[in-house]
Amino acid sequence: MDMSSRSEGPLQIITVNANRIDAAVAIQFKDTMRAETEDTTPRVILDLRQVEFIDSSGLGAIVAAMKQLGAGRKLDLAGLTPTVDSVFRMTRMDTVFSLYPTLDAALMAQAD
Amino acid sequence: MVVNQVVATHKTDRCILFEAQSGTHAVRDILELAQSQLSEWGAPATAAGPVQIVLAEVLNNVVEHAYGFREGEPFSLDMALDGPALTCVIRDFGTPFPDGTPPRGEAVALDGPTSSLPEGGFGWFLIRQLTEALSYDRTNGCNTLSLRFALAD
Repeated sequence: MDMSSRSEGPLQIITVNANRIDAAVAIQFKDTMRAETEDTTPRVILDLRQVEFIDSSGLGAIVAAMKQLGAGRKLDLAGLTPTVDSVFRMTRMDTVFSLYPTLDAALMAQAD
Repeated sequence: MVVNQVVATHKTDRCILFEAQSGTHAVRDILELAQSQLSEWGAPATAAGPVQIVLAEVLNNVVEHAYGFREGEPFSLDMALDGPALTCVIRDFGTPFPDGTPPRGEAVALDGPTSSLPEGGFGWFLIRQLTEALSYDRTNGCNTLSLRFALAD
Protein backbone atom coordinates (compact mmCIF):
# COMPACT_ATOMS: atom_id res chain seq x y z
CA MET A 1 0.00 0.00 0.00
CA ASP A 2 1.32 3.44 -0.93
CA MET A 3 2.27 5.23 2.28
CA SER A 4 5.11 7.62 3.03
CA SER A 5 6.76 8.46 6.32
CA ARG A 6 8.99 11.14 7.78
CA SER A 7 10.30 11.78 11.26
CA GLU A 8 10.68 15.07 13.09
CA GLY A 9 12.38 14.35 16.43
CA PRO A 10 9.91 12.64 18.75
CA LEU A 11 7.29 12.77 16.04
CA GLN A 12 6.61 10.58 13.02
CA ILE A 13 4.20 11.55 10.26
CA ILE A 14 2.81 8.80 8.06
CA THR A 15 0.84 9.83 4.99
CA VAL A 16 -1.59 7.49 3.27
CA ASN A 17 -1.27 8.04 -0.49
CA ALA A 18 -4.48 6.26 -1.42
CA ASN A 19 -8.12 7.29 -1.54
CA ARG A 20 -9.52 4.25 0.27
CA ILE A 21 -8.71 2.16 3.32
CA ASP A 22 -11.13 -0.71 2.82
CA ALA A 23 -11.43 -4.48 3.06
CA ALA A 24 -9.30 -4.91 -0.08
CA VAL A 25 -6.25 -3.24 1.54
CA ALA A 26 -6.84 -3.53 5.31
CA ILE A 27 -4.18 -6.22 5.83
CA GLN A 28 -1.63 -4.39 3.65
CA PHE A 29 -2.33 -1.21 5.60
CA LYS A 30 -1.75 -2.95 8.93
CA ASP A 31 1.47 -4.59 7.69
CA THR A 32 2.79 -1.34 6.24
CA MET A 33 2.01 0.47 9.50
CA ARG A 34 3.86 -2.21 11.47
CA ALA A 35 6.94 -1.84 9.25
CA GLU A 36 6.83 1.97 9.30
CA THR A 37 6.48 2.25 13.08
CA GLU A 38 9.28 -0.12 14.07
CA ASP A 39 11.19 2.81 15.56
CA THR A 40 9.93 3.85 18.95
CA THR A 41 8.84 7.41 18.14
CA PRO A 42 6.42 8.31 20.96
CA ARG A 43 3.88 10.09 18.77
CA VAL A 44 2.74 8.99 15.32
CA ILE A 45 0.42 11.17 13.25
CA LEU A 46 -1.45 9.43 10.46
CA ASP A 47 -2.25 11.91 7.70
CA LEU A 48 -5.52 10.81 6.07
CA ARG A 49 -6.20 13.84 3.88
CA GLN A 50 -6.16 11.80 0.66
CA VAL A 51 -8.47 9.14 2.05
CA GLU A 52 -12.04 9.70 0.89
CA PHE A 53 -13.52 6.45 2.13
CA ILE A 54 -13.03 3.99 4.93
CA ASP A 55 -15.08 0.89 5.78
CA SER A 56 -15.24 -1.09 9.01
CA SER A 57 -12.27 -3.24 7.93
CA GLY A 58 -10.22 -0.08 7.41
CA LEU A 59 -11.36 1.25 10.78
CA GLY A 60 -10.35 -2.04 12.41
CA ALA A 61 -6.95 -1.84 10.70
CA ILE A 62 -6.32 1.64 12.14
CA VAL A 63 -7.27 0.37 15.62
CA ALA A 64 -4.89 -2.57 15.10
CA ALA A 65 -2.14 -0.16 14.01
CA MET A 66 -2.56 1.78 17.25
CA LYS A 67 -2.51 -1.39 19.34
CA GLN A 68 0.66 -2.66 17.70
CA LEU A 69 2.47 0.58 18.67
CA GLY A 70 2.41 -0.67 22.24
CA ALA A 71 2.09 1.12 25.56
CA GLY A 72 3.41 4.67 25.91
CA ARG A 73 3.06 5.52 22.22
CA LYS A 74 0.24 7.47 20.63
CA LEU A 75 -1.43 7.37 17.20
CA ASP A 76 -3.21 10.58 16.25
CA LEU A 77 -5.30 11.05 13.11
CA ALA A 78 -5.19 14.16 10.91
CA GLY A 79 -6.92 15.46 7.79
CA LEU A 80 -10.10 13.44 8.06
CA THR A 81 -12.40 13.94 5.07
CA PRO A 82 -16.18 14.10 5.79
CA THR A 83 -17.08 10.43 5.25
CA VAL A 84 -14.02 9.19 7.15
CA ASP A 85 -14.73 11.61 9.99
CA SER A 86 -18.35 10.42 10.21
CA VAL A 87 -17.29 6.77 10.54
CA PHE A 88 -14.95 7.61 13.45
CA ARG A 89 -17.58 9.69 15.24
CA MET A 90 -20.48 7.28 14.75
CA THR A 91 -18.50 4.36 16.16
CA ARG A 92 -17.30 6.59 19.05
CA MET A 93 -13.71 6.04 17.95
CA ASP A 94 -13.30 9.79 18.44
CA THR A 95 -13.10 8.90 22.15
CA VAL A 96 -10.17 6.58 21.47
CA PHE A 97 -8.17 8.66 18.97
CA SER A 98 -7.38 12.37 18.88
CA LEU A 99 -8.80 13.63 15.57
CA TYR A 100 -7.44 16.77 13.90
CA PRO A 101 -8.97 18.42 10.84
CA THR A 102 -5.56 19.09 9.31
CA LEU A 103 -1.95 17.97 9.73
CA ASP A 104 -1.06 21.53 10.83
CA ALA A 105 -3.65 21.34 13.61
CA ALA A 106 -2.14 18.05 14.76
CA LEU A 107 1.37 19.54 14.72
CA MET A 108 0.21 22.59 16.72
CA ALA A 109 -1.27 20.28 19.35
CA GLN A 110 2.25 18.95 19.97
CA ALA A 111 2.83 21.81 22.40
CA ASP A 112 -0.01 20.60 24.66
CA MET B 1 -6.79 -12.53 -17.11
CA VAL B 2 -8.73 -9.47 -16.10
CA VAL B 3 -12.43 -10.21 -15.73
CA ASN B 4 -15.01 -7.50 -15.63
CA GLN B 5 -16.65 -8.32 -12.30
CA VAL B 6 -19.46 -5.76 -12.35
CA VAL B 7 -21.92 -4.95 -15.11
CA ALA B 8 -24.94 -2.64 -15.14
CA THR B 9 -27.45 -4.90 -16.85
CA HIS B 10 -30.56 -2.78 -16.70
CA LYS B 11 -31.08 0.93 -16.42
CA THR B 12 -33.94 3.39 -16.60
CA ASP B 13 -33.99 7.02 -15.48
CA ARG B 14 -34.96 6.03 -11.92
CA CYS B 15 -33.42 2.62 -11.38
CA ILE B 16 -30.31 0.64 -12.13
CA LEU B 17 -29.37 -3.00 -11.69
CA PHE B 18 -25.78 -4.07 -11.21
CA GLU B 19 -24.80 -7.70 -11.49
CA ALA B 20 -21.45 -8.75 -10.13
CA GLN B 21 -19.21 -11.69 -9.32
CA SER B 22 -17.40 -11.88 -6.01
CA GLY B 23 -13.70 -11.05 -6.26
CA THR B 24 -11.01 -8.78 -4.90
CA HIS B 25 -12.17 -5.63 -6.63
CA ALA B 26 -15.85 -6.36 -7.16
CA VAL B 27 -16.99 -4.43 -4.08
CA ARG B 28 -14.87 -1.39 -4.91
CA ASP B 29 -16.06 -1.42 -8.51
CA ILE B 30 -19.74 -1.68 -7.67
CA LEU B 31 -19.45 1.07 -5.01
CA GLU B 32 -17.79 3.35 -7.53
CA LEU B 33 -20.54 2.74 -10.09
CA ALA B 34 -23.23 3.23 -7.43
CA GLN B 35 -21.68 6.55 -6.38
CA SER B 36 -21.58 7.79 -9.99
CA GLN B 37 -25.22 6.86 -10.38
CA LEU B 38 -26.21 8.69 -7.18
CA SER B 39 -24.33 11.72 -8.37
CA GLU B 40 -26.10 11.50 -11.76
CA TRP B 41 -29.40 11.42 -9.86
CA GLY B 42 -28.38 14.58 -8.03
CA ALA B 43 -28.01 13.06 -4.55
CA PRO B 44 -26.08 15.43 -2.26
CA ALA B 45 -22.69 14.23 -0.99
CA THR B 46 -24.08 14.23 2.56
CA ALA B 47 -26.55 11.51 1.48
CA ALA B 48 -24.26 9.62 -0.91
CA GLY B 49 -21.54 9.19 1.76
CA PRO B 50 -23.73 7.22 4.18
CA VAL B 51 -25.14 5.12 1.30
CA GLN B 52 -21.60 4.18 0.32
CA ILE B 53 -20.70 3.28 3.92
CA VAL B 54 -23.73 0.97 4.23
CA LEU B 55 -23.34 -0.65 0.80
CA ALA B 56 -19.65 -1.28 1.51
CA GLU B 57 -20.50 -3.12 4.73
CA VAL B 58 -23.34 -5.12 3.18
CA LEU B 59 -21.38 -6.10 0.07
CA ASN B 60 -18.23 -6.97 2.03
CA ASN B 61 -20.43 -9.24 4.16
CA VAL B 62 -21.73 -10.95 1.01
CA VAL B 63 -18.18 -11.61 -0.22
CA GLU B 64 -16.68 -12.50 3.16
CA HIS B 65 -19.52 -14.27 4.99
CA ALA B 66 -22.22 -15.39 2.54
CA TYR B 67 -19.56 -16.61 0.08
CA GLY B 68 -16.65 -17.16 2.48
CA PHE B 69 -14.24 -15.27 0.13
CA ARG B 70 -14.97 -17.65 -2.78
CA GLU B 71 -14.47 -15.80 -6.06
CA GLY B 72 -16.78 -15.71 -9.06
CA GLU B 73 -20.03 -16.07 -7.08
CA PRO B 74 -23.01 -13.96 -8.22
CA PHE B 75 -24.56 -11.04 -6.39
CA SER B 76 -26.56 -8.03 -7.47
CA LEU B 77 -27.42 -4.52 -6.37
CA ASP B 78 -30.66 -2.90 -7.47
CA MET B 79 -30.95 0.85 -6.76
CA ALA B 80 -34.20 2.72 -7.29
CA LEU B 81 -35.31 6.25 -6.61
CA ASP B 82 -38.66 6.51 -4.88
CA GLY B 83 -39.53 10.16 -4.35
CA PRO B 84 -37.03 11.55 -1.82
CA ALA B 85 -35.93 8.03 -0.86
CA LEU B 86 -33.52 5.50 -2.28
CA THR B 87 -34.18 1.78 -2.14
CA CYS B 88 -31.30 -0.66 -2.51
CA VAL B 89 -31.86 -4.40 -2.86
CA ILE B 90 -28.88 -6.72 -2.55
CA ARG B 91 -29.17 -10.37 -3.57
CA ASP B 92 -26.79 -13.29 -3.22
CA PHE B 93 -27.00 -17.08 -3.22
CA GLY B 94 -24.60 -17.77 -0.36
CA THR B 95 -25.01 -18.77 3.28
CA PRO B 96 -27.97 -17.14 5.10
CA PHE B 97 -27.52 -15.12 8.30
CA PRO B 98 -26.59 -17.47 11.17
CA ASP B 99 -29.99 -17.41 12.93
CA GLY B 100 -32.00 -16.44 9.87
CA THR B 101 -32.06 -12.78 10.78
CA PRO B 102 -29.63 -9.89 10.27
CA PRO B 103 -27.48 -8.90 13.28
CA ARG B 104 -28.87 -6.23 15.61
CA GLY B 105 -25.70 -4.17 15.29
CA GLU B 106 -25.11 -3.25 18.92
CA ALA B 107 -22.51 -0.55 19.54
CA VAL B 108 -19.09 -2.00 20.30
CA ALA B 109 -17.81 -1.31 23.83
CA LEU B 110 -14.72 0.90 23.82
CA ASP B 111 -14.00 1.02 27.54
CA GLY B 112 -11.11 -0.99 28.88
CA PRO B 113 -7.43 -0.88 28.00
CA THR B 114 -6.11 -0.08 24.53
CA SER B 115 -4.80 -3.62 24.12
CA SER B 116 -8.36 -4.98 24.29
CA LEU B 117 -9.99 -2.53 21.88
CA PRO B 118 -12.14 -4.27 19.26
CA GLU B 119 -10.86 -4.39 15.66
CA GLY B 120 -14.19 -5.47 14.20
CA GLY B 121 -17.90 -5.66 14.85
CA PHE B 122 -18.59 -2.14 13.57
CA GLY B 123 -20.25 -3.11 10.29
CA TRP B 124 -23.81 -3.87 11.37
CA PHE B 125 -23.82 -0.97 13.81
CA LEU B 126 -23.06 1.38 10.89
CA ILE B 127 -25.67 -0.31 8.67
CA ARG B 128 -28.40 0.07 11.31
CA GLN B 129 -27.41 3.66 12.14
CA LEU B 130 -27.48 4.84 8.54
CA THR B 131 -30.57 3.14 7.10
CA GLU B 132 -34.17 4.27 7.53
CA ALA B 133 -35.55 0.76 7.10
CA LEU B 134 -34.16 -2.70 6.48
CA SER B 135 -35.68 -6.08 5.70
CA TYR B 136 -34.30 -9.52 4.93
CA ASP B 137 -35.74 -12.51 3.17
CA ARG B 138 -34.36 -15.95 2.42
CA THR B 139 -36.23 -17.86 -0.28
CA ASN B 140 -35.08 -20.73 -2.47
CA GLY B 141 -31.43 -20.23 -1.55
CA CYS B 142 -31.48 -16.53 -2.30
CA ASN B 143 -30.66 -13.88 0.33
CA THR B 144 -32.48 -10.61 -0.31
CA LEU B 145 -31.61 -7.60 1.81
CA SER B 146 -33.63 -4.44 1.19
CA LEU B 147 -32.45 -1.07 2.47
CA ARG B 148 -34.08 2.32 2.45
CA PHE B 149 -32.33 5.67 2.72
CA ALA B 150 -33.50 9.28 2.81
CA LEU B 151 -31.75 11.18 0.04
CA ALA B 152 -32.80 14.72 0.93
CA ASP B 153 -30.07 17.04 2.17
